[in-house]
Amino acid sequence: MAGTDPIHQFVITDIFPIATIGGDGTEGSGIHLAFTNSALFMVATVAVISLYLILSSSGKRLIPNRVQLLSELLYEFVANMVRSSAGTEGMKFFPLVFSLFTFILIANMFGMVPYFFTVTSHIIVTFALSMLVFLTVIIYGFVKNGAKFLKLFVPAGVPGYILPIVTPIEIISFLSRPISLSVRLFGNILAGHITLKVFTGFMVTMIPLGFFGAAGSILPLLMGIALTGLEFLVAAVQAYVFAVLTCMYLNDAIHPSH
Amino acid sequence: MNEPRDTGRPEGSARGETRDLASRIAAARRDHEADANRASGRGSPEMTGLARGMRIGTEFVAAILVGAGLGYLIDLFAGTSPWGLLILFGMGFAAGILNVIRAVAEMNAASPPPSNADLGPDAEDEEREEH
Repeated sequence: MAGTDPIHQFVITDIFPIATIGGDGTEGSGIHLAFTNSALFMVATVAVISLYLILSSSGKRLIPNRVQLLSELLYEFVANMVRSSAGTEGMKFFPLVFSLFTFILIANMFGMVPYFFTVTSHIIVTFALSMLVFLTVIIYGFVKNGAKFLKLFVPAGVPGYILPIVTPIEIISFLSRPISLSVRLFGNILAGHITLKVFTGFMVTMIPLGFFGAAGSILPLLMGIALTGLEFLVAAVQAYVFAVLTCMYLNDAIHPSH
Repeated sequence: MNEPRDTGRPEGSARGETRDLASRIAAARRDHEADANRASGRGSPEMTGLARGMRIGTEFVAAILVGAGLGYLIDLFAGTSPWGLLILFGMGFAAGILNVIRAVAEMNAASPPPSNADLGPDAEDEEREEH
């Protein structure tokens, strides 16, 4: 039943191979590099965002038309988010946050198109994105604040004899950030797509079961329609949550006192 | 002291009118505020229950996973099995609780109750006692 297999949509397939590093030339040895369907959709996502932003802002109208207005609204939205969460100083990270937000948003929206591959449904992709944020926070934090960045792990106003207990907890809490960031995005998208496929797959199995099966298949259809709406919401919300948390973590790097 | 009461009749009714108007303005403002809150609650993505739940859940689980993973690695390299795993699992649990408290405090700070919100019978009684 490949047609209703809910996991099948996440399979990565090669479009064309690039190179094989190492190995002894036999099948499956060494590191195999290829341009996969995942890579294709990442390229498509970046291409769509870049083309849209370049074309919509090329007019530079004082009174924007609809296309330009949309990209201005997008800019304002992310800029306000960065300012309110990380302060004006955080605006130097605006390109990073804007890129992350639009990439996740458009990748999620691409995933809502039938037969399209969802890039963010693979944890390695979301983990790479969250490690990008995490390493940016650590490197910038140490470069800007030096050893004072370690104050992040020592909450203010805690008596010295509790510090040996509190500091490891703070460190674990800090290290858990990229995990929670990546698992949340991946989990939401994966679970949503599987649920959608399972419910609409019921229709495929019910319709051949005679009149009652066909009549009853209206129920999973309704569920599928409702879930599609919910998935669009989840796709947008998760992009927003990822960007907001990125801003908050960057705020820790800029102002490391708790 | 007595003067306003002597000419009180027209002024009193005027005052009554003002009070009536003030209360009506207050009621309208309350409705408007409630509407605005509702709209912003629905419009702001952070407010959806699903996102909130997922946020808290992953914050909690991720800290436990990191704690247990660190403990396992320490055991692997220091040969102190199973103590590293046990202790860091517990610390991961504590860090998870800390994460959840921080996330919820953030959410509370992001959406304070409206100034004239009904916070339940006890809160109202306390307010009356103060007056």
